Amino acid sequence: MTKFIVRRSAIAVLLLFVVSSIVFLTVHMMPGDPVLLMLGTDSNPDPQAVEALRRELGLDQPILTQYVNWMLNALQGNLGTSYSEHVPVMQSIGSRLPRTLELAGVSLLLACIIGLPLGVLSALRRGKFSDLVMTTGASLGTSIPVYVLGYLLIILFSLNVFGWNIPTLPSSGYVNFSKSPSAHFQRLILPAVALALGLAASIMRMTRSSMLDALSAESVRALRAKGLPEHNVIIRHVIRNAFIPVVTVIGLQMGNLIGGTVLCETVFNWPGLATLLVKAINQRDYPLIQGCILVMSSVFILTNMVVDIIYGVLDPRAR
Amino acid sequence: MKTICRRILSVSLAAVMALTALSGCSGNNSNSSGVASSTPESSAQSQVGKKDELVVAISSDVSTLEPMVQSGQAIRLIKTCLYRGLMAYQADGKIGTEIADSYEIGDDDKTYTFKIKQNAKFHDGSDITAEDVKFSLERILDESVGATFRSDFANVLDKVEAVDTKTVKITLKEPCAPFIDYLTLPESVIVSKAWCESHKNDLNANPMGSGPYTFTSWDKGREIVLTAFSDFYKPGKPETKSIRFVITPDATTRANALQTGDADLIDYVAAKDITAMEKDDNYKVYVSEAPFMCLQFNVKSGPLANPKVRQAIAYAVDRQGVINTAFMGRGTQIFGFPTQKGENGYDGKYDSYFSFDQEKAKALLKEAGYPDGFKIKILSSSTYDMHKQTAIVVQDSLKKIGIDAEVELPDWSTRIERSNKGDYEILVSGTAGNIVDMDWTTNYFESGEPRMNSSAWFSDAEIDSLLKEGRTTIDAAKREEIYDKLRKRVLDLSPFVFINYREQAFASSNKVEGFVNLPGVVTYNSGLTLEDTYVTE
Repeated sequence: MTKFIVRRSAIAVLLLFVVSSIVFLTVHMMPGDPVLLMLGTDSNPDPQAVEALRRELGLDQPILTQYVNWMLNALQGNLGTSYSEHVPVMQSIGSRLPRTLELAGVSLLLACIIGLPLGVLSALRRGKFSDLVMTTGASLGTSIPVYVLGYLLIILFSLNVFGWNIPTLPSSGYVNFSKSPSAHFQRLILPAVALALGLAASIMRMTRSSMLDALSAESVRALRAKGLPEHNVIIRHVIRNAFIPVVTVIGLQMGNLIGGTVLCETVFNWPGLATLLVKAINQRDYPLIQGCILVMSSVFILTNMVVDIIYGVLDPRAR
Repeated sequence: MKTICRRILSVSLAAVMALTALSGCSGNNSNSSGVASSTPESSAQSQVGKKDELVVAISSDVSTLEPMVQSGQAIRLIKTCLYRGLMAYQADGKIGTEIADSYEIGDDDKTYTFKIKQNAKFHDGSDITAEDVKFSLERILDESVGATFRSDFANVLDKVEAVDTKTVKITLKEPCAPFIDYLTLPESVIVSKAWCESHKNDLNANPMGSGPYTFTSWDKGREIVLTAFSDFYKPGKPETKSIRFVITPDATTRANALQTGDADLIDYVAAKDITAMEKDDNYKVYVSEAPFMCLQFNVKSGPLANPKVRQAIAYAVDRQGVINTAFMGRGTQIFGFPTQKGENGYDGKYDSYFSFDQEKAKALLKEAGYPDGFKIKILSSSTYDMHKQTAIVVQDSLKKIGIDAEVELPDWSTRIERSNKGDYEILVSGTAGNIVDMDWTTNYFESGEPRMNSSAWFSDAEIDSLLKEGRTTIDAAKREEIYDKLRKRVLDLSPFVFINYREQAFASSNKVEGFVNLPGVVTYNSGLTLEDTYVTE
């Protein structure tokens, strides 16, 4: 088991190195010049100022020198200073990552709360009308893009176009938890729900098919034949087996969510990591792009590794 | 297993209950943002019936608060609250004094003597002195600051002297008619010498000026909060205790924020929302027509080097098509030169210089030696819909006269890099002069290295001398004649093809008072009127 974990960790570190090297190279090969953007794009920047700034940022150095410098600093935990925010990259990411993690975490939780029971229910009612309703709903849920759903939720619950007698929610923004917890959560609800519904639909479908597999196993027939009460069969045996692949899917979704929240963050003006990355790309803020992608891929690789290890624990054949 | 299931169930139930409870907190009150606004009670401007806070949702993230770098029109809203210059445009659209109390122009037209207001103070409480003015203007020339208008000032400024603590004398290298216009730019403001010297000259990290609002906090990428400056030199201003600028890049999200009461005022209102909000009594829409869409050409070689070809394109472009496609039918076609009537005595005589006449365009192409057209590339950008859609309409128009154009749509940052190097054949551009005075055209039509707002490699001796004459002549009537000749010459040679004016719009709830969208290109200085802006209860 230890050997397995060590091997997985080594692969993760190697992956991170490869990812960061590729990111560094592609970012620097991208057309577009950060200096021109920093000096303002509504007018022509002064050529002397352009040269001076380029020197100051070290962008006049050969790309290999820049790469080695960046790598050496990164190994010591220094990802450089953002061109557009004028603060260390770690600080920019540090303020954004928790917000994205919070949004992703709450969405995932909501998605599980909705998706798992419905998946189980739908499998148990296979072929019945209620199953049809649930699977249709799930297809709809997976196919509605989050920005459509997001605006739909805003129209219904913020603008309250139908004049329902319900408490309206703020349409966008972010308030620090320490400043006002209630305002903080009010602003979290709509983006979390918008993200969660699509996820819930895919979790539900996964649960349903996995449940159906488990239900058709021969052991289930044997248990039923043994005279075990049906709810015992389902809860103790079927669900337990069916949830193993579902857990994997949920784990992987967490990694996806870190970068995948970008549309949701834009629609609801949620100042998270994904919108920071988009801004960094638009501004050609090299250190910030590299930092964001490095952090996102670390989270992704880490969750993958944890899922792999959990899987290894649950199912020794996978080691 | 049973216990685990039960535990999961109870945790999830608790979570659901917590969420419902919290959503219940907001009640039916859609206007309160739910934020405990903790503005200090120091300023004396509090009056019954006015809200303590004005929330402005702005379209662009703030890259820097360094005043001398022009980093976007949205950021100018904030900069004009924090900083003021000697002069500025006023709510009536005319130039007035700010930090300056009065000024005189010497007989040689080259010396400007400014008296500084006795009560003008910086936010740290110190008086604004002639030394600060001298320091500020010289700071624009300092390369390490990266001031956007460095070369404009470097070309005209000879020396700045502090005569006494409240008098400053500026000497120019030669007379410059638009000099006062340049002093109204939000990038030529007065900053504190002592403050800059004790803060490593870094005003981005330590914003401090003399405007109506002082800097309070900046949560990067999210919001900037300013608080009323009680010692502002205009008594009784500003009207509101604090302003919160919330960064909201998405246009629809911004409109939603206004509609739900999360914001009181928004900038860069999209054309579709302008139409909807104009019909709704709950909103005020402030529209100014200023920027214009145009085509720039690389005239170094090939068909575009021939003025006849460029004129053919001027006749060929379906301007109403651009307005309909890219601007929801809102805007004004330009068949002449983009000057509003009245500016430098312009009477509209060139407003129908061109027309939408594709037969004439074909004839011109034939005369130029391209009866069967040619292949060409149009550089635009996918980042902004209006740029993309304009390119597509132009492509279609050109096809009708036999020119086979391919549209390139890189992202904005690539587009900027390429346009500044002159790496294009036809470039779609949306732009506006920096100042009202016709001298804005210098940046566009003067010969020289390719730059963002010029047609690459375009050069004409007559235009160059007219531009110089216009800048150095002080007599208004003579300048009218000069710029009349300039317009004619520019239209004849057509280094640019002007397409249409587009709207620059703000919108607010109907409870907002005092805000003005300044006319023409001064719309970009509209932040000046935030000192008069407040929200009624």
